[in-house]
Amino acid sequence: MAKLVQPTRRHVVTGLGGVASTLAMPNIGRAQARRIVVRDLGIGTSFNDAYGREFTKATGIEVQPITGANDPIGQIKQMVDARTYTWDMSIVARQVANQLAADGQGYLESLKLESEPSWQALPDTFRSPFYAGNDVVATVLGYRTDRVKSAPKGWADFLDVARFPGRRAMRRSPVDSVEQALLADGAGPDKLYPLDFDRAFRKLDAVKKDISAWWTSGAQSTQLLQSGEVDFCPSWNGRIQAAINAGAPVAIMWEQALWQSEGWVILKGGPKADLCREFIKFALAPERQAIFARATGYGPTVPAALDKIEPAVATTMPTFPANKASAILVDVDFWTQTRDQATERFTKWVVG
Amino acid sequence: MTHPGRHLLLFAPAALLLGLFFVAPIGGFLVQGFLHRDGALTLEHAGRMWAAGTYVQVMVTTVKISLWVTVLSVLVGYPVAYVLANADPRRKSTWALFVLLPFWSSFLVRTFAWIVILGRQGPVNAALVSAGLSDQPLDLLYGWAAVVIGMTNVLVPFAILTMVGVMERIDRGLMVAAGTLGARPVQAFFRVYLPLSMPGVTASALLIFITALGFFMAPALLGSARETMITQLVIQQVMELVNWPFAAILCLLLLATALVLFVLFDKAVGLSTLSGEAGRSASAGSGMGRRICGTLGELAAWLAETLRLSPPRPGEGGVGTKGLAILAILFLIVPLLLLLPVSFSRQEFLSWPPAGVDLRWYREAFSSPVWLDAAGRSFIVALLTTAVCLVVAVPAALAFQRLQGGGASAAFAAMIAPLLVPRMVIAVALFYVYARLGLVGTVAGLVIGHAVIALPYVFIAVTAVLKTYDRRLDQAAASLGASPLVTARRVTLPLIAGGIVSASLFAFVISLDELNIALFASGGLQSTLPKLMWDEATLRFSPLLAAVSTLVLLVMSALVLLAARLRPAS
Repeated sequence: MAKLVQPTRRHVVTGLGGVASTLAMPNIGRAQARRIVVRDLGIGTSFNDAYGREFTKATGIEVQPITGANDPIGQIKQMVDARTYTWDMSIVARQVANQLAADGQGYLESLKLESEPSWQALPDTFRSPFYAGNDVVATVLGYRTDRVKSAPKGWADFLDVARFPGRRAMRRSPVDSVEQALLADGAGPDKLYPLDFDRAFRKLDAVKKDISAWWTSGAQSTQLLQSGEVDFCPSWNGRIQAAINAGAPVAIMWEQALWQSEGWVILKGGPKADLCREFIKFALAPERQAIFARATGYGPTVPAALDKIEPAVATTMPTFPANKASAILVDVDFWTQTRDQATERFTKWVVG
Repeated sequence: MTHPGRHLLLFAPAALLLGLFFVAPIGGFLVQGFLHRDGALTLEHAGRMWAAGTYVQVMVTTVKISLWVTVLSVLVGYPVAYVLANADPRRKSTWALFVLLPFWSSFLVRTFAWIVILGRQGPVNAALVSAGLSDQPLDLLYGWAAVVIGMTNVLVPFAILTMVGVMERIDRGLMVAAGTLGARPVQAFFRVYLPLSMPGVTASALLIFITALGFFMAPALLGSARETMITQLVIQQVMELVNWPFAAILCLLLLATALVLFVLFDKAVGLSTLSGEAGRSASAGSGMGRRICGTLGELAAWLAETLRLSPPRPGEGGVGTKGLAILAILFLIVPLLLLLPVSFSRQEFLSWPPAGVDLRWYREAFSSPVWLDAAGRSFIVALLTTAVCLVVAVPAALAFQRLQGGGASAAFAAMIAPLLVPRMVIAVALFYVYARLGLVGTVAGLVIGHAVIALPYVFIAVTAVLKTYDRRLDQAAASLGASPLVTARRVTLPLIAGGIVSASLFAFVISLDELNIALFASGGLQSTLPKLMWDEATLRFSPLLAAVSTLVLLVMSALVLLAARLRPAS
């Protein structure tokens, strides 16, 4: 990515820097040496309960969480480009991590945790030299049990309007929606990638008139199901679980769950990289992941963590054996290469 | 006329603020639309944008929705502004409070309220079904109407406040004089009052149209995919696809469209009403505008005669006008009426009907240091932003009055330019400047960003009032020996105080409600109220939103009532 700031402007800007920084109230917190700023998902107090508070107790290193809901690719690139480490590390989707690591000189610090037992306990699927998986997010179908008579058993049922009448919503994005359309059209789960966009859009064409709403944020999908605005809505399992936990008559279809993982990354060149490594080592402990999973509904990446969760809750985890039987891992690198064109095509299709 | 150089000096604060924190970062951003990865010039992004067709289609949709919202906002706002401007001082504060209540409740929260109001389980559908008007809930949400209703609801207060400043300065005696000369009240209104209020109407129409072009939350939350607006696609490019060059091209499409429409608008209605040539202060704008008013007047008089309607009277307005104003205000406060019971709800989500009565969400708000901290910071930032905006905009507006022709148009375009760029883009581009100046995560950074965003509103509000200000008063003061500074302090400023008050409100409220700067230019480090509300809305959607929004409303109302009581009777 080209840098935003043009070199010609730099002189002007730095020249005025002296004046401006005296006007700026210095953020005293940033000066503390043993303190890290972690961008997290902000799901309730889950981050502090599972990691932040306990980490400070154990190491004396302070942790300030910063909440953000969107994929922070742009923000992390900004910070590394400008060498302004507002955040020291972040939890991001695997796709974001791969993209940040691969772009230009790379925007992520090598984790170098290979010798750590907690790293070795992490399955290969959930780690890379720059990324330590924290949780599994499954895109699943949520449906209203008060209006849907028989349980849907796959994405084909979701898009079968005749056998499963009712109002439907989908995500306003090609990611997940294209996979769902292909699986509904009978594509083999093991031969899904590279995605056949022509086939997917043919299938989507056939059902477009039956989709009542296209959601853009996770909270919207929860609200759609919880309020009964729609009867079927695919979303991230934690979002649907939130509606269930609030007492809404909603159930999850675990068949053909589309898996993505989220995990820890460290911003390249940051001054606190070593403290961040300490944090990641700590956060990979099964008992820590168990607390996070319980609070968010997203499955722990470390297998042993599942044993530390009471059975009633463990059964709602994507990584619970019965739930993962037919799960499909989303090919995030495929999406990194195709997302631009796919999004353009999807936008054209959806607004047309 | 005195030295033109001195007038230009009055633009200096604006030039400094906009040059450093708007033109430079945004210029750097937009240029990328024409750069290849290796830095060479290219038209590939522009070509791709044009060839796809979708983006132009979305731009057309954006313009259509914005036009509807503009017309509706001005129509809904006009009677309220009329009543507000002509009410006696005691009633005026009551009317003002009702206009301002929706204005300072978070627009994010109001947009969410419409999801609940128009939903299938919402109160509107419940009423329709129980009244037997429909056998099953209607699809009110996720469509064109919901988007237009949601956006209009947010923008009407802006229309009212822009028009009221102008209307307050219209001499009521003129309507009486028209009556004495034999004009029926309706005729007097259309041929005298309406033309005199046109500067306010055109200013608010322009302000609302351009603001509406940049909306993204209302179409995303209330519309179907068909109502996708251009800023949603810009945000998608920046946030999801991280394709800066293409985001820049889409921004340029928006800017170019806005500029073309700006010129057309000028030709049709006459923006010259805003550029204020001396001695024309009491005239009705362009010839065409006046002809339209005249024709409307005849038509309305004829209609009123035929239908035997009671027309608006000079003074506070007739029963019909007041009725319209009350309806408009009801429309404005509906989302707030919904939020109040929901804020006491025991349930986990913002939904209808609310279950039980509980203070849990208020307890959560008060027991959270994060929310209290953010509230304090937001109020401080809003106050500072207001101060900065006034210091920058008032001198610029004064100087602008003295410009004519091309210079005036250019200055006007420059001052309102921040309106044309999506706030999110301003925030993202500002980050780089802030990083160099050490402003990331500082209160100063928030204030500067908010000031850039609020400046056009403040400038338009002050300019609209100055337009109706009789410059001969300044000349009289000068001829009596007052220096320009003394004239400004003793004559001009006291006379335009009303306009400055509404301009300050704009700045304060825009800052209090501004999300993007905190989100993107500050890395989330300094949380403001809107930032926390945004997190809450995108992550949880709980009644806490309603509770916090109700609290902000109470605090603001208390502050304003207090200020009204403390103000010496004039």
